[in-house]
Amino acid sequence: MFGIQRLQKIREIILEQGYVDVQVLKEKMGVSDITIRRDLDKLEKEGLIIKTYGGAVLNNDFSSRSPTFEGNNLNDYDEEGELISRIAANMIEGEEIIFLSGGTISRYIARRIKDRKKLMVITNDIFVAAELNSNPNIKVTVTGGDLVTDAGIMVGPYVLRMLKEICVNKAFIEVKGVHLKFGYSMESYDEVEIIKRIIDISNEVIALAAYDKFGTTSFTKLGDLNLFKKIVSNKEVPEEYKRYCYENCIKLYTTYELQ
Amino acid sequence: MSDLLLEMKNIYKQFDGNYILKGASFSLAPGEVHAIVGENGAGKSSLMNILAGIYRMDSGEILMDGRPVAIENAKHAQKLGIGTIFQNFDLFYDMTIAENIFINQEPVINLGFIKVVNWRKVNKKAGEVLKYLNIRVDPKLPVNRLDFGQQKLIEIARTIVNKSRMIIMDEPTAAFTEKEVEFLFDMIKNLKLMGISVIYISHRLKEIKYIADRITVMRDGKTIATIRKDEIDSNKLVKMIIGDEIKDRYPKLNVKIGKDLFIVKNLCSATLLNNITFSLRQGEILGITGLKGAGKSTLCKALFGLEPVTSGNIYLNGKKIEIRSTEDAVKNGICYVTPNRMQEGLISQMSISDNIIVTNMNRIKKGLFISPALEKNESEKYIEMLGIKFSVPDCKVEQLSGGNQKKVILAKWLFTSSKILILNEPTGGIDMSSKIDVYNILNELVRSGAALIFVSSEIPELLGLCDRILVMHKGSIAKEIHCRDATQEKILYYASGGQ
Repeated sequence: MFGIQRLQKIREIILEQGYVDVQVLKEKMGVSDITIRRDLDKLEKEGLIIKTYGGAVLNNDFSSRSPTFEGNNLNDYDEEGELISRIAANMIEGEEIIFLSGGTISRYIARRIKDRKKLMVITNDIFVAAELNSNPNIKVTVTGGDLVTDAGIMVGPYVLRMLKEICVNKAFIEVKGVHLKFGYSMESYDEVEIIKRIIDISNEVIALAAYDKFGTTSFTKLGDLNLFKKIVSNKEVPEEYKRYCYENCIKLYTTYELQ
Repeated sequence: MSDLLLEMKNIYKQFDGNYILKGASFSLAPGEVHAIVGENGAGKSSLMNILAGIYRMDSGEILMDGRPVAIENAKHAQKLGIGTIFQNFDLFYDMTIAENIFINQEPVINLGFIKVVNWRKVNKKAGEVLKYLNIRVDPKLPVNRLDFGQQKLIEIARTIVNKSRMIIMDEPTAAFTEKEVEFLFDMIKNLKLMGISVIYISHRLKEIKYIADRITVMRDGKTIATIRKDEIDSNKLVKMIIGDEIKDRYPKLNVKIGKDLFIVKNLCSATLLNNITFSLRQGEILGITGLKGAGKSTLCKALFGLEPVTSGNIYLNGKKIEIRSTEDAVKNGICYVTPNRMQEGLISQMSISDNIIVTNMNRIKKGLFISPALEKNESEKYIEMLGIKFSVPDCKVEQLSGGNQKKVILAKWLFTSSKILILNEPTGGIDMSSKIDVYNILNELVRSGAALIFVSSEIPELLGLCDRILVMHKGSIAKEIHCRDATQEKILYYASGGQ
């Protein structure tokens, strides 16, 4: 069982029962109790649980706490995405114009940089804008366009028209598929159109993809694997992709959580 | 029939799926001095190891006197007249000069079933060889009484006695004094007169221009060009060695650099180090490079308490500290990731887990005793943290791939919560995918406030990852360069003694 699946399973149990026990979880998942304890640490950070001796209980505040926007899916904690956002946020050095494309990782990046100063953020993701809503030191520009239902992402001709008149220092592009043969792909042709425009108007483009996107394809092709010169992902990226990046001089950043 | 002594054609060689030679070709005429130049990892030494019978090629052809030969092993290569002067010493220190020269070739008195070495004859003959080569030493002296350069010359004398027709010299002058270099060159001229060819591998372009008849440039496992002495142009040569494209494949993360964490002032050692002064800041990756014998490893060892220091001071967080032993270093949060995985860094017969916890047993003790459960938990955490991959549980570290062994070394130092990491060639000899892993682990270390000393002879790697680079030459720091101003040419210039 992968880390994410395990976390999801623990979440389900705790929401159903209201409590969990380390020993029971350990046997159920077949991992060591240190692993379970680390999972519980993460869930506590999310605010879902409060740790107790030998286990944890559901944090009652959690269900009543209202997120900035309904459906901002950051409430489903995505560890890989969160880790990636740390590295991406480190690449943003201030006094620059950045673009954050629609997606979970972009929202985590927004959360990480929300206390920064002298930054201009352009996005087609309403949740990214919402994260940065309260900081007067960051100028936020939303592209406009047609909202994709339930996704919080905007697409369509209005976006393209707006992107005609600006330039960007760094664009972060969350891709949905990375494949040795099929290259990068996105969920829809509408998104691909926007990303292609962004690439044209940006000084530097950086791809973001959790490790489980490697070796998979999504609906529409964005470009070949050498399209981006920088990729941020997790340490679990398959070896053949690491080798490809090394041989083709693509900078592959991967996350490590060291204490 | 060709009048070439040696031809190597289209040589390929791979290790673990990584091609280190991709169609290299090379030729040698009788009495010719033919230099091979190229960056570290270009394939120079690998090509020579194939010629010397140490590696076997995957495909290609080797001709001697126009006839194909299959070199089976080192002994066979010697029999064919291929002599080698290795980078490391290959002498028996307690034996005399004469014994070393005539090892395996002693003149014997045959008494039927036993053979007795005729020592008088050995000494006399050794004397003749030495005289012929203009080396003025007593053949009856033990080798350890000679200085560094003279020892190298004895190795050369031995290859001549072995009736070598060609001698491979792999960076012979790395630790030579100028006088010793001159002496070696006189000797090479002598060899030429005797019709013996020399294959000369070096980074020192000045020397090469002086001594070589032809130069072959290697890059990425291929032989790029072979040029004649009269066509040599230093600038062009450096460009050929480096190649046109800038190879920036290094995921450098710009971390905010803090205050001075670790300061070294006027550090000297008895053997090599001379007035080493530098500072290392929090969140910084400080590169150290230099040619072989410049003192990179000696400096690492001195900072980790493995090399006695004669004078100088070390400060940590503004406080003076003494590092007389590795215990002192570890106590102060300094650790050393060694270049040789098995010799110094790891205990090959032990499990991954034991290797990780060995540096800090206190962390897994419950009361007075080691808790196996705690050991398992802790080591599992580090194995997961660094993504160490193994095929069988509880396997010994010697069964791991090179890259994963490197990660075990890193894990064991993370386990001690070291704040200053000295990494000596951390990506040497590991596969590409593990290199990417090591770079990113280093990123995360500096992001969390550690400071790194990154020693490497791969200059592009340093340029790609470091904030500053110190270039060493003959035991001193010749130049400090900020990465934004550094180029490969500049570094090579200072590393080879430029002012």
